[in-house]
Amino acid sequence: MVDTKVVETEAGTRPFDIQSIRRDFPILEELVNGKPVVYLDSTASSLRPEPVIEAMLEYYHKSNANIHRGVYRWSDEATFKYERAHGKVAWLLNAKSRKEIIFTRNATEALNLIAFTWGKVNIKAGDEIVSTIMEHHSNIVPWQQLAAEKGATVRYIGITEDGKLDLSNIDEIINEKTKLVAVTHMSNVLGTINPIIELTKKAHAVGAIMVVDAAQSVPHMPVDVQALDADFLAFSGHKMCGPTGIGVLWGKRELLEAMPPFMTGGDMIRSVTLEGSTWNELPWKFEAGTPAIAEGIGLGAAVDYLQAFGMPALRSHEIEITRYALGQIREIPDITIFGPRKAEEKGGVISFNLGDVHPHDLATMLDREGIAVRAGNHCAMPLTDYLDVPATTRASFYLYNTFEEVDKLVDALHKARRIFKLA
Amino acid sequence: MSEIRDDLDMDYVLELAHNFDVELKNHKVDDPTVVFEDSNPLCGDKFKIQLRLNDEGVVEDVGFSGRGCAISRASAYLLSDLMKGHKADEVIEITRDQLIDELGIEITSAVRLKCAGLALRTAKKGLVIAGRATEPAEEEE
Repeated sequence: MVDTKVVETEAGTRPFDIQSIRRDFPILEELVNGKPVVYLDSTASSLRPEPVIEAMLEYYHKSNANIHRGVYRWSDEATFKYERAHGKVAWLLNAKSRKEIIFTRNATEALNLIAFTWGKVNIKAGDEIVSTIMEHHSNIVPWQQLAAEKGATVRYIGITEDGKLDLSNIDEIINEKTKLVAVTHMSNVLGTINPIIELTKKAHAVGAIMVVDAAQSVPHMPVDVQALDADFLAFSGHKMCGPTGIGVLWGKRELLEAMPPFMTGGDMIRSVTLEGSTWNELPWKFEAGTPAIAEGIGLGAAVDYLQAFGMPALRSHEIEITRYALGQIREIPDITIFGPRKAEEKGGVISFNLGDVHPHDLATMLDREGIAVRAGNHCAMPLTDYLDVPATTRASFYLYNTFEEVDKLVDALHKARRIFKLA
Repeated sequence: MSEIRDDLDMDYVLELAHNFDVELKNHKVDDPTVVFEDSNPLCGDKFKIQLRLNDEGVVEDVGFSGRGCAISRASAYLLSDLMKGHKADEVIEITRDQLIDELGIEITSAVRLKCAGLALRTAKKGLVIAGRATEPAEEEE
C-alpha cells in the first residue's frame, strides 16, 4: 500500500459545516430569473467546488504539458500530479494499489472497457450474464451487446414492491452458467443500496466475476473495494464534485494484468516493432492516448475535498436530509414515491410523481420556481417500464443541500397541485 | 418572468392538453391512410398518429394514441386543427415555431422544444413514409 500514501490531509478533519461548504461552490450565488437556484439534480451531475476548479486552472497556468513524455519541469510536474490523482482515488476506495485505478472518460466507458476486454476473452456461447432491472442503461446495454456478439444470454434480477432487489430466486438466476454479474451499488432512480457483498459471494460461488456500477455510491458513501470483494467497480468524476470527462475503473490487479488492452496507441505501449507490440504496466496499459490531464488532476482534488469531511459525514448528512424530505413529500396529497421508504436504506435520491401530472410539466413548473430537478426515465427505461409510468420526477441531494431547500421544493409542490388543478 | 404570467401560460396549455385528451386521444380514425408512431427518446413520450386523407390528399380526420406531457399534447391539439381540411403538402410546411407561437408560451429549453415538436414530427414522418408528401427541405432538430 506504499503508493497510496499520496495525501496531504487526513480524512475527516474538516467539520461538516454546511454554510462553509456552500461558500466553496460559487455557482450557488448565481441567480436565475432573479432567484437563487435550488439544485436538486446532483445525481445527474454534481456542482464543483472552488478547490477542484483551481486545481485544474493551476495545471493550465503553471505546469501545462503532456505527461509521461518530457524531461522538463512542467511535464514532470504534470505527470506527478496526474499519477498522484490515481493514488488519491486508491486511497478513497481503499484499493490495494494505484495500479488498480484506471482513469476513463466516465462510468459508462469503464463498464464498456470490461465488456470489450474481459468479456471478449471470457464470455462464450451459452454463458449467462446477470444484471438487474433497476440498472442505468450503461450497466445493461454493454452486456446485451456482448451477449449478442458471443451468443450468450443476459438475465435480470427483478425488484420488490419497495424497490429493493428481489433475491427470492437468486440461486436460480445466478447459476453455474453465470460468468458475470453486473449490479448497481445504488440505484440512480430509486436510491436503493444493494447488498453487493452478498451478491459478490453468490457470483464467486459459481465462478462468475462481480461488476459494480458505483456511479451513485462512491460520491455519497464510504466504499471499500477490499471489503466488497467485487472484481470491478466503475464511477464518474462529475458526480462527485470532480470535472466532466473523467471516470474510474477499479479492477483487481490479477484480472487487469490478464486482460487484453481496450484501446491501443500512445501511452499504453511498452514497445512497438513492425511485428507486434507489448503493453505498458498498469494502470497505463488501459489509458491509451494523451488522457484528460487537467480533469484527472481535478478528480484528485475532488477526492481531497470530499475526504476532508470524510465519506461517513457526507452519508450522515444525506440520510438526515433524505429522511426530512421523505417525511415532508410523503404528506403531500397525490404524491407517489418510488423506492425504499427509509432513508437509511437508500441514497439521497427521491423519485416521485404528482397525480397524473407529466414529470416534464412538473419539472418545467419547478424550474420557474428556481428548483432544478430531473424528469424523465433517468437512463433506466426498463425500470420506468416496470414502474408503469411514462417518466418520474427526481430530486437528489448532496453535501451542499439544506433543509430550507427541501422546504422550497415542498412549497413548490403544493403550488403545483393548484396549478395543475389537483387541489 | 413573473409567477402570475407563468400560471396563465400553464392554464392555456393545460386547457389545450385537456381538449386533446377529450377530442383526439384514442379517437379512432376509420380507414386511416397514414398510421405512424414516433417517440421522444429523451423522455420516452410517444404518439401514434392516424390520418385519413381523401383522394385530393386533404386531411379529413386525425386521431392520436400514446402518451405525452401537457406541451406535447397541447401542440398535437393545435396541429390537428391546422391539418384538418388542408393538403398533405401544406401540412409538411407547418413548423414547430408556428405551433409554439400558437401555444403562446416561451420555450427556451431544448428538451421542451422536443416536446412541442413531437406530434408534428410524427405527422410529417408518417406522411413521408406513406408516400403522401415529400420530405421537407430542412428538418428542425
